[in-house]
Amino acid sequence: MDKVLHAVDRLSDITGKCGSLLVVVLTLAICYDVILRYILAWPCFWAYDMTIMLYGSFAILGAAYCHYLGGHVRMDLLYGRLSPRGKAIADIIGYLCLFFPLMIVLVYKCGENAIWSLQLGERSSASAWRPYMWPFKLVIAYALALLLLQGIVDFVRRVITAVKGVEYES
Amino acid sequence: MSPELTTVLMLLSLFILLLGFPVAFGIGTVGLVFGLLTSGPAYLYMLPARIIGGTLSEYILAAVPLFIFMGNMMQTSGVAERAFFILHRWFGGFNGGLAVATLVLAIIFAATTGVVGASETAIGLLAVPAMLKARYSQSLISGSVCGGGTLGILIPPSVMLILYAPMAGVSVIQMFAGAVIPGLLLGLSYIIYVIVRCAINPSLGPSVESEERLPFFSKESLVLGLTHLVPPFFLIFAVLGSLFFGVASPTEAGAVGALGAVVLCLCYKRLTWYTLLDNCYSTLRITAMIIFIAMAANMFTGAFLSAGCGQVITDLLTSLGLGRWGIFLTSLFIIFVLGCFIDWIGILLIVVPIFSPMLNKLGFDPLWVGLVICTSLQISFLTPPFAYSIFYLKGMNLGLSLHSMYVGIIPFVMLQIIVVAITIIFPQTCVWLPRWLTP
Repeated sequence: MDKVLHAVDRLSDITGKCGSLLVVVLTLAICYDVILRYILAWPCFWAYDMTIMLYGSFAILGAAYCHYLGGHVRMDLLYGRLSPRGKAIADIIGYLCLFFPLMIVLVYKCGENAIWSLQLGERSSASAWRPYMWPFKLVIAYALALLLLQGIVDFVRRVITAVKGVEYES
Repeated sequence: MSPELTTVLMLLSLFILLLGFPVAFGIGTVGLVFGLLTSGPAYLYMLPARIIGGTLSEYILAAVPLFIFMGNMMQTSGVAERAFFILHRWFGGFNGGLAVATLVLAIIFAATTGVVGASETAIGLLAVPAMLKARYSQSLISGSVCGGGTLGILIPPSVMLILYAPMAGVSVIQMFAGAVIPGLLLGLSYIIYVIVRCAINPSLGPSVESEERLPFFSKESLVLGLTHLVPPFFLIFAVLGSLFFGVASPTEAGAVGALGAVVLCLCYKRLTWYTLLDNCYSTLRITAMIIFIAMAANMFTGAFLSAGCGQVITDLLTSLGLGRWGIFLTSLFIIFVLGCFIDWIGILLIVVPIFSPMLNKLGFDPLWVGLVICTSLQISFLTPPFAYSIFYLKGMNLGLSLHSMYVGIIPFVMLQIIVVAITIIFPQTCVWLPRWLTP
């Protein structure tokens, strides 16, 4: 089972690290557009849509990576004082009540929306470029699904911790 | 369910966050449950539009990762070390001078970064060892690092102002321009406090030995200033100037600033593949954390407002007979109390969509309201039990006692309250610059 857990960790890690390079792409794309527009007075027809899609993909691809690294903020007024087992139990309750219902709905609705977008060939109407929307929506659906998967993996670890009473390292 | 009951239940269910599970999921789930209960399947239908078409497609929010990336690259470039090297030789000669140098550095650095963590870490790592070596009092050290560090989130570019503006329907550029004076007022009040305090009791901040001193008007000052201070200042003025004079959108200014910071790293020979990648990763982590909470808060406030709960809060506060100023001050007080427990992102994203329509309806200027709220959110970093600035300082392990940190921030919290009062009594401090730039 450890192998499966590690495989999901690796996927989140790689997705995050590859996705994080989009900030460089975003910087360069906007700078390119700024140079063309202000110096050569050549407006880029793709800049607006490109900015949004790069930003949106960047932000959502980090969700699973951030969860994997434990980077989502907690209110640890009480949580910080619990024993390792107490923390694990609090997390299990959290996963069952707050994580899985929400993430399943989000993955389902955003996945459905992405497939719908793919089938209908939906296009953006924000700029003259009118790009297809499905690649962006598929990225969002993938990132949310990966976050759900990372959550399941983490949930399994928390259950093992709660049963054994010591932090499960793997 | 009646709107009154929904309001009470929704706010009460936020107590589930005390469970310690990541806040974003808790807020999102509460929004989802109550959205389903009050609007039924229509809420689910709106979900992709809220998330994909809303938070993840907000052009202005693209500035968030760009300014965070810029701040990270500025930290890597080592401009802080270079600036502090000069500042501490200029100011070190008089009592409390190092703390003044720290605060000046904090103000400069705040203008290159949009979050507190990055600026406070950079400043703390430089200034705390130097001040400890000069035998400064621990509480003065902690206070000036924590107080100065929080300026990062108010002085533009600021992630807080970027998140605030679209929610309240004001322009980010006007918010940025408006935050300049309150931010500088805070910085100035900290500096004056340090000077006065050290003049009364020089043992708090003894002056450093004479051989390290550098006269302000000298050839060496000029050369060092040109190589160490002018490049970051040029970048700050390029980014903020192009914004304030309407040349570029915040997103464009962020990208140009990020590229400028990379170039600065290159000039100072600090750019390696490793640092570049590392900065990308940390930018991703902070952005994902912020944007995910923004998505969840969007789900929450969507359900809250469409169930008519915003109206319930407005009715409740107006029926108390407090008058418009009473309501305004009550709102600020609620934000202040929440600031002791939740971090600014939660307060901003949940409280603002509820309060700002109400305050607008009462005839307050939305720009001014936004700036007063954002200035008062500064206090939330310093008020225990959840004083994030202290957490950052503690995390650096620089040999300061926790007691001195909590004692040290007290005068700075007082100063923040005074500055918030000034922005309330003299609205011109907030709105003069934005109005002057865009008449």
